Amino acid sequence: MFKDEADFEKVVGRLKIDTEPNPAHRENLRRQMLSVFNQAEQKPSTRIIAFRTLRSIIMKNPFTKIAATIVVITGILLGLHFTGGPFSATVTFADVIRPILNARTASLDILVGSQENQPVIHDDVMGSLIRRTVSNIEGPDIIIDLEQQKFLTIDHAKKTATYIGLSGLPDIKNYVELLGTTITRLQNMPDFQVEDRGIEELDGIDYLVFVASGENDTVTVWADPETALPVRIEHKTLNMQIVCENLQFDVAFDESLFSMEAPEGYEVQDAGALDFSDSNENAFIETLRIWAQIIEDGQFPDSINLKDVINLGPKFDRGMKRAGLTEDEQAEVAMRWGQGLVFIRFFKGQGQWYYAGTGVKLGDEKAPIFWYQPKDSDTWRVIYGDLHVEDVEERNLPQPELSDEQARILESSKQWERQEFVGTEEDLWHVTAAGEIAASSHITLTKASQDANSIYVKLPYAGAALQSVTLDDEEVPFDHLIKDRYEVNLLPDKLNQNQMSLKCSWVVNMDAIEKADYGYRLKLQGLIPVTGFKLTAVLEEDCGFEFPAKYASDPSVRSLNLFTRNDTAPAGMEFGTCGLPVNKMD
Amino acid sequence: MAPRAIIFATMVGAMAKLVELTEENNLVLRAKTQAEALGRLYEMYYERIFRFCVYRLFNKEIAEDVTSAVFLEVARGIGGFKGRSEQDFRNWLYAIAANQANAYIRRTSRRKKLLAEAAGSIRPASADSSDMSSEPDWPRLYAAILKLKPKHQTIVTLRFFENLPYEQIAQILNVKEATLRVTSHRILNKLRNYLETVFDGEI
Repeated sequence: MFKDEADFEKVVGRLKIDTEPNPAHRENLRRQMLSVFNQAEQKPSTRIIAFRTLRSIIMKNPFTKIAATIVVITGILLGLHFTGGPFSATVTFADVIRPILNARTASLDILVGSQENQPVIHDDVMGSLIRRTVSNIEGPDIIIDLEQQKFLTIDHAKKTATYIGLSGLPDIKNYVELLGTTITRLQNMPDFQVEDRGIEELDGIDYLVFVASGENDTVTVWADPETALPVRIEHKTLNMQIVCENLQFDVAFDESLFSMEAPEGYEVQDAGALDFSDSNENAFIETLRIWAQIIEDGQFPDSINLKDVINLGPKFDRGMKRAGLTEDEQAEVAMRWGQGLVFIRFFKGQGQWYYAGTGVKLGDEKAPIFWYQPKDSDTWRVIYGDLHVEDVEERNLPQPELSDEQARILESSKQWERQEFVGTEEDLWHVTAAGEIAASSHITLTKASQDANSIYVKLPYAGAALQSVTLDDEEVPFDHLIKDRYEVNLLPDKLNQNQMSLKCSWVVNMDAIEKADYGYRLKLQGLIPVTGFKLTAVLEEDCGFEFPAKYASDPSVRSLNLFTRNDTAPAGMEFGTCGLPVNKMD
Repeated sequence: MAPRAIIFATMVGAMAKLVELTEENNLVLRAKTQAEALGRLYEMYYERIFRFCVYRLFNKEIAEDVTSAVFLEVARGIGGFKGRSEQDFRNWLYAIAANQANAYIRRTSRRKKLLAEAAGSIRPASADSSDMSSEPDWPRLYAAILKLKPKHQTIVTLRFFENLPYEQIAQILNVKEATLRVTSHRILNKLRNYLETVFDGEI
C-alpha cells in the first residue's frame, strides 16, 4: 500500500488505464459543438467583445474607470471637432500656413477647454505615425499608426509591447497630409474673411496674429514675426475652445521613436480591435438617459459638448455611487454613455445638430432636447425629454432659442467656466440638533466681472437650500434657478470695489450626505470658482455627535478643520470629498 | 486645425496605457464570437477532458457522453464567459467537467453500475502475486475512489491523475490552496483505509 502522497503518485503512474479517445467521437463532437455555438443566440457582437475588453481593461486600471472612459471618449470627440473652420486665403495668411501644408513632421501640444487644469496632449508627428503623451497619464510609450489604424504601447517596466486595432471609424489619412488638406479646403471657401491684427503680445512675446471668423467659428493664429511660422492656433466655437500650441514643423526626429516594432526581448501582446461601428441613435439616446438619470440626478445637462465631457469625471463618479451601482455596472454604464457620444460626432449625419436639454427633466414628453438630420434624409429626428423620437419636417423643427430660465441656467455654467468671479472661500458647516448641516460660506472675491449683473452660485448638494446672501454685510436678493443653482443679484454700486465679501448661508439635511463607516463623506465644492478653500465642521452641543478621540482628545472640542486648499492653486470648483469623522453619542 | 486623426490618438493613448492581454487571451476572447477560435480551443483540450472523464467514470463510453456534455455546455456558455486568458478558460473547462462527472455519478444507480463494472474488472489475487494487496490495480483503486465524496474524487483525479498543481486545482474548485493541501492529505488517508477494506463485502 502507498505510504504518502509521493508514493501514491507512483502507484497511479504505474496504472495501465486506457484513455485513448475514439477519433469518430472527437470529430462528431466537434461538429456538434460548433453547430450549437453557431445557433447560440447569446453570441455577442464584435462591439460587445471590444467593449468587454475595454471594460476589463478599465476595471483593472489604477485610474478610475470613469476617468479612463472620459479620456477615451475625449480623444474621439476631439479630432472630430476639427472637421470645419473659417480660414480663407490671403497672401500673408498663406505665408503663415505654408509650413503646415509642406511639413513632413510636426510637434505640438493640444489643450481642450479654457481652464488651467486641463490635461495637455503632446504629439510628435511623422507622416502617419504619432508618438503621443498625455499629461495626466504616466506610463508607457504610445505610438499610433494612423494608416494601419493600429497603435502600440510599450511598457518598459513590464517589458511588454501591446498592439490594439480600431475599426468602425472613418478613414484616417496621413496625419500631416490631412492637416494640409483640411486647411486647403477651408481656404477655398468663399464666405470667410481673415483679419490681420498685426503684432500682438502674448505672455510677453510679440506675434503676428490673424483671426479668421465664420458663422460659428473663430480661428486665431499666432505666428513668429521673424519666420512667419505658426506657433499657436486657437479654435473657438459656440461652446468649445481647442488650442494647439508650441507648434514646430519639420522637426528632425529620430525615426526609431516612431517604430511600430516591439523592442527585442519584449513580450508581444495583441489586444484585438475596438469596433465603433454600432454607435447609433439608440446608443445616443442611452447616453442622454444615463446623463440625465445618473449624472444629473433626473435632469438633462446644460450642454453636451466636449468640455462638458472632459470635466464630468467627479460628477459622474458621484452619480454612479448615488445610483448604487456595482463596480461592474459602473463600468458598463460608463461604456454605454461613451458609445453614444461617439455617435453624435461621427455619425450625426449631415448638417448641424441642436441641443436644448438645459433645464429639462427626464420624462418630459413635450420638451424637445436634441434634433439632427440623418444623412440622405429629408426630415429631422427630434428627441424629446422622455426620450421618444419623432421624424419632423424642417419647417416644424423646434426653435433653438432658449427660454429665459434655460438661458440663465446656461449662463451660470458659462460664468463659472469663464471664471468671471473668482475668490477664496472659508466654510463653516454646523451639524445641528435638527439633523441638518447649517453652513455659512464666506467668499472673498479676488476677481469680479465689471459687466455682470449677477453672481451665480452652486451649492454642494442638490437638496441644499440657500437661505440668505450678504454682500459686504448687506443683504442681497437671490433667485433659485434649479436644483443646486442660485442667481445672486448684484448691487451696482458695489462692483467697483476692489474686494467684496460674499456670505452665503445654506442648509442641507444630513440624509442627503453620503454616509461612511467613520461618519460622513462631504463634498468639497466652491460655490463659485475659488483658489483657496477651507472647510471646518462644528458639532453643536445637542446634535448627538462627537468627534472620535483620535481627532479630538478633549470632548469639549466641537470644531475640526477638515480640508484646506492653498489659495495659490488654480481656481476651480470641485475638489473631491473629505471625511467627517463622528461618533454617535449615547 | 488639428485633424480628426488626433482623435484616435488620445483615445488610444488612454487605452494603450491600460491594456494587458496575451495572444492566448486573444484566442479565448475570439472564441466568444468566432467558431474557428473555439474549434482551436476544442482541439487543444478535447483529449485532456476526455481523459479526465475516463478517470472519473471508469467507462470510456460514459466518458464520451460526459465529454460531449462538457463541450456542448462550453458552446452554449462561451458567449457569456467572463474569463480572458487561456488559464481562465482551462479552469472553467475543468470546473464544468468536474460538475458534469459528479452529476453523472450522483445518481445511485449509476454509481452502483460503475462500482459493479470496476469490481468485475478486478483481477483476483493469486498466491504468487504477493504485491497485489499492497499496490492496487486501476479497478480496485477506482472502486475505492468512488467511496469518497464527489468533491474529494475530483481532487484525487485532478491532483494525481491529471497532475495539476494545487494552485490550479484551488482555482478550479474555488477553494484556498492551503485548505486543499490539508484536505488532500486526509483524502489519501481515507483512500488507504478504503483500499484495505474494499474487498470486505463492500462491492
